[in-house]
Amino acid sequence: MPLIPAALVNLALPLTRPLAAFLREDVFDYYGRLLHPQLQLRRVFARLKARRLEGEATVVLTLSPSRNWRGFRAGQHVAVTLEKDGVRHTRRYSPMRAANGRIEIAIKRLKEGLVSSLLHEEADSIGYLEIGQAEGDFVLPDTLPPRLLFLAAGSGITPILAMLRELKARGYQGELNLLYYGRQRNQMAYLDELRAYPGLHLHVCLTGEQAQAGEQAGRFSAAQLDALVPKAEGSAVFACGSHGFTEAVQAVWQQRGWQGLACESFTPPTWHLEDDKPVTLTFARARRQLAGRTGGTLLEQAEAHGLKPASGCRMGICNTCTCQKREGAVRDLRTGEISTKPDETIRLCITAPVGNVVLDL
Amino acid sequence: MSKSLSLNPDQLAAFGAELDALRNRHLAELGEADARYIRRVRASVRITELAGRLMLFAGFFPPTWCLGVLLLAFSKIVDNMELGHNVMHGQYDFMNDPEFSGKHFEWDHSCTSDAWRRTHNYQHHTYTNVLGKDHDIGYGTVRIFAEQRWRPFYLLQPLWALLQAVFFEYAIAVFDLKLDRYLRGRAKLSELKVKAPPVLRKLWRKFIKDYVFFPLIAGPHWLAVLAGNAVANLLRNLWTFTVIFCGHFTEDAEVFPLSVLKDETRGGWYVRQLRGSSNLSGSRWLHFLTGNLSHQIEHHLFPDIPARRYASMAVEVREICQRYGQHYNTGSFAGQFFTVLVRLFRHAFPSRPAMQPV
Ligand code: FES
Repeated sequence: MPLIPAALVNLALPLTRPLAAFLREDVFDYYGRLLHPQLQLRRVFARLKARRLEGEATVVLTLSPSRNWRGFRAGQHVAVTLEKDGVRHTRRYSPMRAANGRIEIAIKRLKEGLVSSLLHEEADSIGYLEIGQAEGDFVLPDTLPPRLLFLAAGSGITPILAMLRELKARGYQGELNLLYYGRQRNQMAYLDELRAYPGLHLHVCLTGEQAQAGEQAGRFSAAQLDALVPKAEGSAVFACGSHGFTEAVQAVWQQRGWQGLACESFTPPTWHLEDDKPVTLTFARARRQLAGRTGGTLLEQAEAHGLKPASGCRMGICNTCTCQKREGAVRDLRTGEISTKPDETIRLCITAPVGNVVLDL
Repeated sequence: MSKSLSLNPDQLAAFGAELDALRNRHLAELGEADARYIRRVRASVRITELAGRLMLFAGFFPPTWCLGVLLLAFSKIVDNMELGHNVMHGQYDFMNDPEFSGKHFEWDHSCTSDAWRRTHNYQHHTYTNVLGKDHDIGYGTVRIFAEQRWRPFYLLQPLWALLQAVFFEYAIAVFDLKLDRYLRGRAKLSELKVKAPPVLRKLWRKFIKDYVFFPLIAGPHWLAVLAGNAVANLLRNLWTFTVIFCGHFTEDAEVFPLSVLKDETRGGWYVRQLRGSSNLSGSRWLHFLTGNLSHQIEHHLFPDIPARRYASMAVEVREICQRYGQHYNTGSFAGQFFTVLVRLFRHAFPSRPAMQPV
């Protein structure tokens, strides 16, 4: 039970900001946490307000973030962190606007998804969740175009729905089309809300079961697009789904030389067991992409390309080369273990890529 | 003279493989228990610091003042050793918790954590007890091995060591700057201009905190608080100095020439760590208050495994060492420290290394 009320904490939070220059953040946060989970200098904890099911496979959490949160633009994503067995796990979800300054995140249950199953099964025991600041440039432009086309597959619907809610709030009057792909009808989230959305041309496309009246069958294709949205050319387009899905969309736009396509995709990392396969290494902060190979240490490969990440012992003991891996599959060369977790701490000198890797460097 | 057998390359490889297996077994087990442990350690640091400082505010009333000093000293010792030193090795990086991230942890010590990570985690742990590479050998002020070149300066080294013990945190803080190089004209002053500011900033911050800020807010009891903070810092300095000098400077600890680094294998590295380090035997409290540096050998073999596991790892390490004929250097705190003092006085005077077996 927090010792002080949330309202008071959130009034006080902006006032603590000047303290940041004098205090050690972890010390302030330690004592703050004893009084109230949201009393933190910079970190954001969101109170879990409600939880409901959308379709059969998606749980929607309503969250009320502390005032340390700087808000978001529809379509962006936030890191959500949960702890399990002493280890914190981070996944990214797209927040959507809900009533009273709250936000919603929708979590689709994945077969082997650790965080998603935690959020499905143990959400009732969670009082507060840590979330990050919003990131990403998959967002609506400031001046809205006359025609908007959205293409969503599976849980790719969440940033799109966030945009639709925002459009409604901004009183958008233009033409709105949405092609929404899913394997089975009852697994698709937010169908009721979308059907009731005024002025939205919704096309539900099923890839894994028989289509009924008013529904389409089959994966995204140029022919299907032409049949459903004759005026697709010239629309501003937002596509979100698995990597394969956005690639298929991109291919059509490229082939036809159309403009105005923005894509966002999520794909579980894939990996090779053999050494010496080509992979892409992305150094996010340096904004560089390098051609790498599986099996060699990340440190050596980065250096071979002229980058100079901090290093010392080069044998995994000094902790100098430690950095965050944002995503990708890597192997720990000491134990041989392969890890595909997003946002985890690794040491460059004893870690080899086994697939494409994005580093926070 | 080494008390350990020398191993042939095959034996070295097998020795290293056994230690690697031990390490991987523990790596695989990391989880909940370790996370809960380090959070409790952190709680003990924060709570005792708060309690200690509050008690000092009560002024020079002897019982609360003494208790306040002890609590504060306890807090600083645990912060530096069981919490800071271990966290900065990345032992708890597996938690993915920014507050226990080895790269970002900040401690209650005048030495900046960045400098510490460089001199300690990298130089000292990689080149342990290699002459000319591991600057922790004698910390540039004392000669404890016959292999170090003698200079007249060392004649007074018992005094230098005492001064260093009293001001240990400052000694460590400026250690990384290697000031003697500038005095001897071996390095350019412009380099110092870059390296000094962060060190000075941290020194200044710690100084303001303990000797200006807290005395000021204590109002009339400022002197009690000021004195209390000074004594707590002194206790911490003496304790950490003693523990650290017992880690590599005991009678049986060995130093190595630069040539060992050439083509050193993993097994060779393990052997060097083992021979250069020494343990302290004692109660659970001793292990806790030394931040498990009482298990210096295990710490040097496995610097990134949570220190709470060293006690149980030590049983297996000893057994492995015995099978390979390697001396496992351990003894009581007093006994080990005594041998350090003997070295300190003996090598103040010119001395020659004993013949090494070829
Ligand atoms: S360089 Fe020392 S741990 Fe990687």
